[in-house]
Amino acid sequence: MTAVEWLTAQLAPLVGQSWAVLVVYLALSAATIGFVLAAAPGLVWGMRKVMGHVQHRTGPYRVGPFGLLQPVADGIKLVSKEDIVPAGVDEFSWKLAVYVLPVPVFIVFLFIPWHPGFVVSNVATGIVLLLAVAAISPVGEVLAGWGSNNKYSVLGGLRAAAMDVAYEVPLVLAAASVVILTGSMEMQAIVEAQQGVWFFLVQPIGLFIFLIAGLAKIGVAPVDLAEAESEFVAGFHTEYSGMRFGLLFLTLFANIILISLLTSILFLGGWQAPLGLFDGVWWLLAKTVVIAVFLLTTWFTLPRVRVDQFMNLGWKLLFPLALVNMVIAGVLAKGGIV
Amino acid sequence: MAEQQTPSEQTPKRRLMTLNVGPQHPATHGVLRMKMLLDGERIVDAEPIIGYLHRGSERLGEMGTYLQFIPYTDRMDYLAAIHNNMAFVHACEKLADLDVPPRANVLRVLAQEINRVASHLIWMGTFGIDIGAMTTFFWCFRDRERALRLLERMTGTRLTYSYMRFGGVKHDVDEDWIQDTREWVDQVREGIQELDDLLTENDIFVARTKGTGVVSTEQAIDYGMTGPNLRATGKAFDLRKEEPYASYETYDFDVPTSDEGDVFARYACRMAEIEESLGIVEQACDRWADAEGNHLSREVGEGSSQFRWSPPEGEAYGRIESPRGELGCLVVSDGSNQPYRVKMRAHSFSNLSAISELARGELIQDAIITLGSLDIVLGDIDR
Repeated sequence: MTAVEWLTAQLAPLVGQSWAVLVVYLALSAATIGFVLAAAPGLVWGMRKVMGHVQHRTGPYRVGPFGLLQPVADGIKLVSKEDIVPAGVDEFSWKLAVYVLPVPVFIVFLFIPWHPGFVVSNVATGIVLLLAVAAISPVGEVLAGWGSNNKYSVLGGLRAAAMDVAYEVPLVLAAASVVILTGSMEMQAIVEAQQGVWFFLVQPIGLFIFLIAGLAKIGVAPVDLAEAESEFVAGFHTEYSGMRFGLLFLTLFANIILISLLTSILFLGGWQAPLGLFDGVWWLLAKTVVIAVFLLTTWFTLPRVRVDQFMNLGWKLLFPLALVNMVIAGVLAKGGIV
Repeated sequence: MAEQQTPSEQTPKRRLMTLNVGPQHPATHGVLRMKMLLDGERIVDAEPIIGYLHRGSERLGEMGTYLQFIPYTDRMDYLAAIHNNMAFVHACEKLADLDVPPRANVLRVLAQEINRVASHLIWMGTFGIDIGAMTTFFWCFRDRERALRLLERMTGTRLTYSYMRFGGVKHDVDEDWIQDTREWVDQVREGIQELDDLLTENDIFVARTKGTGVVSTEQAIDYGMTGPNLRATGKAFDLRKEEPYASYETYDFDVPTSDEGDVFARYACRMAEIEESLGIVEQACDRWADAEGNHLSREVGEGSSQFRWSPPEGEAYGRIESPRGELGCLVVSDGSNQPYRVKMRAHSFSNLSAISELARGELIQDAIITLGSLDIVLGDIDR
């Protein structure tokens, strides 16, 4: 019996089966999304600390212990700012964009297998549904770019679109290789299949492709082409300020958490413990933090790639490589090696 | 989108977009405005528009005494204020045939070379921002801050030094300062090594800078480009060697050049130049203790005699090697205590003028780093 079923069974005698399902589901969804909403500012703090130390600075240290309350202060600042709608924006798409961007990213956390036997929404097509929902988010970048009535935004939005098309494909193919190895799309099954052998051992190319494509999906340096500050000021979010900007910023960090989580789940065994010691959510989070710090360090170390070079990398190298990798996965799965 | 061809008259349906980059834009290094005609991300035409920082410095020079013009020169190329002081003072001394004591020359060399390193570090940092490497910026500013502290102790100010005087410099330094300068040289060497590790062999950095914004030697000479921009095309032209001033001829240093003339070559040239400058600083530190004379020529003296000083009637053109190239100053004197005319030859202006040709047909990203690699200072261009 999974945790969700157990909770529902406890509640069913009190309010009836259908209400119990609904209440448990909504409560767990709220808890999960609440957790991500709290983790994203936490990551903002972590980012600034990592960045600080990479760049011979201290990062935040004044607000609260170790500067931990800095994101809270930032949040208060953003919320209390004036809500500015620039003249000439296409108000519908401009305002819609700040919901289209974050909402899908937060929803997909419901499909994450956090703990043995605990997924908020355990669907049979788990990983495919997850990637499909997450792929809605970039539409918001194009909407924001178009709606802003700003040439920098348009260019940034179009770059975002080109990048997402180019890198969604290798991302999905890398995940598909894992599905082939597992024989199931269910998230929990993917983690369970890594008992003993984590997939990065048999899928190093897959991990490599997933990380690069993931970086492109997050859109930070070295591939922050959509918001390249020295070229397009801030790309598609040039015209946003206050809490609207806050939401876009939050999406960025939710995306980093998402990609780190997915990498841990698909390639590093999710909640599986090394040497079989105490499986659980703590291992998943530990792996996620390691991947996130790796992504952040990459962000602060490398210069920005050129847009055509990056497109070439996506279509001409990663895409064929991902196909080859799928074949490898197929051979491994068919040969019964994994 | 990325692989578009440069449009021509055969494709009249293509719609071009005009994009105003600047005057307030993160990549224009001050208040430069670039009017770009874009086809997708490719630049069809780019026109730099200058003048947003015009303060009429040259005219102001005619309205005060000679000494009063020195603080104005600080504010032209504000990243290399020492060199601006030096250019003006050099022209005046040339006109008056004024001798500078050896000690003052050592101090002048020290100040100039420390300022040159600071200026190149700023360039490296802001270039890092242009190319998207944020960390470079902070590492460079860390080392540059140490240079500014030295200059502050030497001159009394952090940025607008006004250190040069007619026939010498404002203050002497002490033994502590010389010691700290030697330490600083080692620190910068370490910092440069770190930057070298971070950038020089980084695949992304090399892929973006090699072959981008190529300038040939002929082009560079046609545009009047000087300094590292010219030397990166393979021409070893350095006024410290060609036309020595402040007794540079007695120092042992090389003029680094590269042949490619691209952005990477300019980067490599400046990296090598920092190393050469550090070498000169070390040599000057060795000489300081035994250097003869005062920090100021007795012929002119200090205080109000500096204020009253003026060269005889005539005109002189003094030119020096600033971090950005040949910085020239023409001084015309009518024998009164105010200059009749002061004209600065702005190196950044000549360096910038190539950008239209370099940017045409390039992607925006390449044009931005090409512009960054030319190392312009708008305060110098607009004056």
